[in-house]
Amino acid sequence: MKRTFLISLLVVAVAAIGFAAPVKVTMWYAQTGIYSQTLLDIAAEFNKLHEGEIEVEAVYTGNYQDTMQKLLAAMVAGDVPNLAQIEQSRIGQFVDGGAFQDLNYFIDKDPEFKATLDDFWPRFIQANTYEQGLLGFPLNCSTPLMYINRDLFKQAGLDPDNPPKTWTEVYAAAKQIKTLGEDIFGYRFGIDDWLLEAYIWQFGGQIISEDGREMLIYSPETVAAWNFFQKGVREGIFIFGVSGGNELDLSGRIAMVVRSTGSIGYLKQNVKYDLGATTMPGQVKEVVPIGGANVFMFSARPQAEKEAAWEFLKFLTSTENTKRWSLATGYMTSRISAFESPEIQKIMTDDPRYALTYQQLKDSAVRRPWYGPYPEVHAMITSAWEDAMSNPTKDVDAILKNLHEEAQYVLDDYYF
Amino acid sequence: MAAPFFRGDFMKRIFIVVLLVASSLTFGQVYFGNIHAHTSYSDGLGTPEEAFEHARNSGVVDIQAITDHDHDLNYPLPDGSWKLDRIIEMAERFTIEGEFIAISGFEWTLTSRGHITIYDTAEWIDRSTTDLYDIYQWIVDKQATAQFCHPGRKYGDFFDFEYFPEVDLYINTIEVGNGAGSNSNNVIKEEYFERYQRALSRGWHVGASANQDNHQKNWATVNDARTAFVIDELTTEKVYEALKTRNIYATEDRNAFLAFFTEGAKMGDTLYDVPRATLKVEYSDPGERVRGAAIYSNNGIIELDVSGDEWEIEIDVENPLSYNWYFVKIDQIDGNELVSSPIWFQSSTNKYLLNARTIDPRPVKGLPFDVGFDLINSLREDQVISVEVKSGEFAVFSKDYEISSMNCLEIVETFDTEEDSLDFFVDNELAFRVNVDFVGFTAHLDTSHENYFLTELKPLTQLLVGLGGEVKPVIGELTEKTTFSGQVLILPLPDADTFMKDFMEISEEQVDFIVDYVKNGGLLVIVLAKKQITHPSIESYKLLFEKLPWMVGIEEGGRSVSGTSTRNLEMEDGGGVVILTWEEAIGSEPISEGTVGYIEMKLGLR
Repeated sequence: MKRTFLISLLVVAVAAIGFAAPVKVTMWYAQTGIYSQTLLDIAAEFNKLHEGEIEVEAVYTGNYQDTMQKLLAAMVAGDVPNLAQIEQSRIGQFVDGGAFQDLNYFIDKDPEFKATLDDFWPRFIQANTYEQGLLGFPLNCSTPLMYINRDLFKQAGLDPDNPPKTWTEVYAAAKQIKTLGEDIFGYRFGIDDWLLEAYIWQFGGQIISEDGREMLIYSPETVAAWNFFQKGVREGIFIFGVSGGNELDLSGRIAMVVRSTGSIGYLKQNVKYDLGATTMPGQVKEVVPIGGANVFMFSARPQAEKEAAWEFLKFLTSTENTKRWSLATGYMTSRISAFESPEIQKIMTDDPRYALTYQQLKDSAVRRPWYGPYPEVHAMITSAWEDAMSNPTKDVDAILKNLHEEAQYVLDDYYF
Repeated sequence: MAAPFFRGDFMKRIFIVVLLVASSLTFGQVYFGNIHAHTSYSDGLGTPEEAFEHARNSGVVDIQAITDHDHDLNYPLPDGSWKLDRIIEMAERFTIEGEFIAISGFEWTLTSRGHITIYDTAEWIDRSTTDLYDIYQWIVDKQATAQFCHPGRKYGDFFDFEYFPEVDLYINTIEVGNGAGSNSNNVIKEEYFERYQRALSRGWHVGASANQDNHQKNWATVNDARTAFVIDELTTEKVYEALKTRNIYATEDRNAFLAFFTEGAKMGDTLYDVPRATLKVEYSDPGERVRGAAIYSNNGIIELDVSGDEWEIEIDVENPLSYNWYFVKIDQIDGNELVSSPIWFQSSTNKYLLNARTIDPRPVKGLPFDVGFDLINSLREDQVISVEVKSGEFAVFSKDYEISSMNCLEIVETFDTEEDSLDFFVDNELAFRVNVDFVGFTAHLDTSHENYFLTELKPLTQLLVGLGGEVKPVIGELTEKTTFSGQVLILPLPDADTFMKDFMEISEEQVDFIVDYVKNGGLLVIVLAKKQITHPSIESYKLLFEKLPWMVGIEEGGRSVSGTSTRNLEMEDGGGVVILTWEEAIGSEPISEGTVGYIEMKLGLR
């Protein structure tokens, strides 16, 4: 009896494979242009290879913020996609809500893949590891670099081959560069959230406690960091702006600016000055955030879909495809083997500026804050920063003290 | 004139007939266009096909251009064909002579230099391989028709409209209006309008356009910004001709009529050797009254006394210089604006002097100062340009310059005069006038040694301004060059509380050139410390005091000095030193009359 039953089950299973529609996997993503195109190309190729079995549908769901909002709404509605590209600082509510699948479940059953796990850059795996396990895989990752207008350095009598390594050195160089003209500035910055985090860390400050429940932003270290940048603006040797930064960077009037490593290609094409690059300066510490987004799998989907999604996730992050992604978009490779490929190595031989980001990744890159209420908190940080920098005579200490208190209310409220 | 004006496409054709009958008006019919727009071939939406179709079907424009970004044209379409080829093909397909003219082009997009739309070329060129001078050369080589786009700080102003006579032949229009794809009709922005006048002042012969710069599927329809073409029939040939001859105007109203002309010329034209002229302006837009109108020129603004929704006016003008331009700006009651292309009145010598100014906006009276000006030779042969500068009958400067064919030279000369009204003559023709805004003396206020006290030291700066001086903060580093360009150097001692103490010190090199400065006639004003300085950097200031030729030393961490009853150092054949306490400098204690008198004496004010 038992035996017969088993056999009939097998028959049914075979029939299911033979006649059922392919398993549909939905992935939501948040980038346009070449990023979107490359992702769609990879998905199309995967679909071809798995014709009749798995069909991946990649759907553009707006920018990082919109995609996060849509995912939150989908969670409430119980209709999440299988996979989603989510920016690092926006994942807190999903992690806290237990929305993500622990990928170790699949890795453990997949010894062949497991053997290649240490081929991912260790800091990327670290950045995706949470209490619940390994929740995401790196997709589009970058670190911030400091770009240098070598011409201005030379004109000011500075050595562009020996660029500043600390913020104090940036200040000193900026003072010298300022003598070149009223319209020329030593350092340009804005309100990019990941850089605000970097500045605080580099001056030895912290933003939130390890468990995400306590604000730590009001400290002598953060006050020093903010005072430093405010001083540069007040004295007219740095320039701060909420918008128009890109145009300034192209104008040739800015000697130093920190932007994503992904800007190299764009800047190379658009600037008409001698463009240099170096690692982001440190101060008390040398530390940079890993920017960009990772791909996550939602656990609240049928097992068959998750198995299929896992197949696509492996495909997407394979050596071949992370190399292809990196070549097309300028983002970092996720895997060391891709980095070591002749194509990627050639880029770095041709232009050593591309290697800097990997150097930083190995030496000093860390995960950005991710806790549940962080999107709200970082909006508050940004607005306080904007206040302090656009009114450079305002008292930084008071602004930070107030920010700290208000943000703590948000945390208390979230974890209540 | 009694030119009636009607709205809408159908009515417009009747208007032609009426115009032909009412032959008093000689400057043709008006057609409306939008000559800057994008599709998905670069960073917009839709295809050129959709764009031309949308614009043509809209019935609200007669002319539409597609001008996608240069660098995106490098990537071929999926079928392997080139995007620009397809745009050209589509422009041809959608053009119906007499009804709708579709134009092909591309936008050279090098932010920081400026963006330029280039029309009707079979090829394109990419910004990554070209800089501004390269694209100028390319435009000249191709004899293309080109336009300065949204000029200003954000995207660039073409190196402040540096002038090239040869390129001027091919870049004939400038956007005073650019909608950046927004649905607001307010496309003529202060910045573009100001840069339009700047371009004219540098010598460019550019007419005024207003375009939508669409990036979505709303070509021609997103707002009412239009480039109006004053042409008598709607043909591709006439449209390009109008772009060349600048017979266009910019309008935020979709169908307002404007004519601007004088005897023998219409807007966009140049007349030679006409000392006085009658300028005529005609306006018509039923239901749209004007709030104001003015003629702008390099010689000033003439407000026009006009009202209503249909009027004409004549204004007599004198052309005082060898290079004059005039254009019209009209403000409608609903806030929409119209800006015409200019009419130029020039000397037939083809030798011009423009852009004269003092390099330092406020030179010091009594000292030599630099004056810059541009000399233009618009003739196809080398010429000698004789420049003479006079103040009244008094000759200030004269020199001959050899300038090669079709060239512009930027000249800087040093003048030594106290005359403030300078007339520049070229071959005895008055070419330019400059009023020099002299200042009594320049004082530099150091802020580069953790002594950023601009706010606190306002009483001191006001004292110096009151004495006829100008106070300029020293931002960045204190250099010898800065120091020597002023008569006074104010050096406040550093802030003891600064969190960047490494920057308090004054370098030995700085000490040395400050001492030299005083020995050579400079007046050094030292402001003592706000708070006692215990940091070792105080030693560097002690060194400065030691090296000054007197017996005064710093006490109390920079709060006071010792050694003399007077704090004013007098040097024979040299400058001097004044020491002020912090309290005196910030105005909480008075500065003694003796000290003020001493400053006045040192600056030759007594």
